[in-house]
Amino acid sequence: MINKIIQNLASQAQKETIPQVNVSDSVLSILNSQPIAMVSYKPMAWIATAATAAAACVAIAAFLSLKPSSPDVATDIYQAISWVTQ
Amino acid sequence: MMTLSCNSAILSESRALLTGPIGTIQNAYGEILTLLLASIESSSSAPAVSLVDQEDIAQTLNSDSQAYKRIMDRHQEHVSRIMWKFTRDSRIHQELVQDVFVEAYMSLSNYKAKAPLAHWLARVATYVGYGYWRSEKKTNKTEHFTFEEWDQVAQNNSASQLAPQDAARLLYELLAQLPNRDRLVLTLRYLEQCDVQETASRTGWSESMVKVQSWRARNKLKKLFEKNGRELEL
Repeated sequence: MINKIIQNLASQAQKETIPQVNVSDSVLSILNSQPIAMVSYKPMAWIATAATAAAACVAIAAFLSLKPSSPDVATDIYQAISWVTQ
Repeated sequence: MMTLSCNSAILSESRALLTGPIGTIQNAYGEILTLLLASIESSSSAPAVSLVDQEDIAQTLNSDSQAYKRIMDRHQEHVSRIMWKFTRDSRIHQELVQDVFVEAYMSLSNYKAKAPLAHWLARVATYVGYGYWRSEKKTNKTEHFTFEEWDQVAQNNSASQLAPQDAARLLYELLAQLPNRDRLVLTLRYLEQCDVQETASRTGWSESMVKVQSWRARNKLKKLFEKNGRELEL
């Protein structure tokens, strides 16, 4: 429990009259001056995902185009493994 | 709300069919449906967003600025009252209220209407106010507080006789001596008169964290008094 004086101060403070403000017009003028007023983050997340997927596809295509073609992939893999284990 | 009432009707009919006179399995299903209906009814009686707010929010999201103006006109007194707990400078107060509504507009598409708009705005206001305090700390601005004034109030036991603005100012200046998190939790709990649940909602903390933070803040307040040769009974 908080101190009784603080509680009494807090109760009195509830009765305070707050300064009047009217910010509607100033808020609207701020919002109208911004080129993109509302940003929704979900479409941006989708754009980021699509860009990543596209980049991954380009990287795989580049790897495949640079790798020399082999008639027997299994033999290549076996030889690579046996070289490492020797 | 329409979806809830449709589901209720369907479930009521299902219950009538399943809780017929034949077999205990049907009775068990009836029990489950009773519980489901009760949970739907309790969620449908939760505080809802007002129709006026719903319409204006929808129109605002369709770029109707007059709809947002109507939202501001309805809620700015409520927001203004909250922001007065974060500053007692009239000019800064107006700027903070403005910031809350700019921030609310930018985030309006994230408002899920699970609680009344006023509650959501209160949360935005708390974030804006807390951010303001953090920026104040960086510029080393401190609020003036004198223990002598506190002593006068304590000795005469005159807290409840002080003018409301003097009581609010004294309490505001006292809490401003604390670190921001402690100041925030005590401001919400005592100046804003929020209970634990509402404090948790406004800050994004869990309820247990609110309780722990409240306890720590009260202890820091006590130590502040002891450091200045006074006692604060809690």
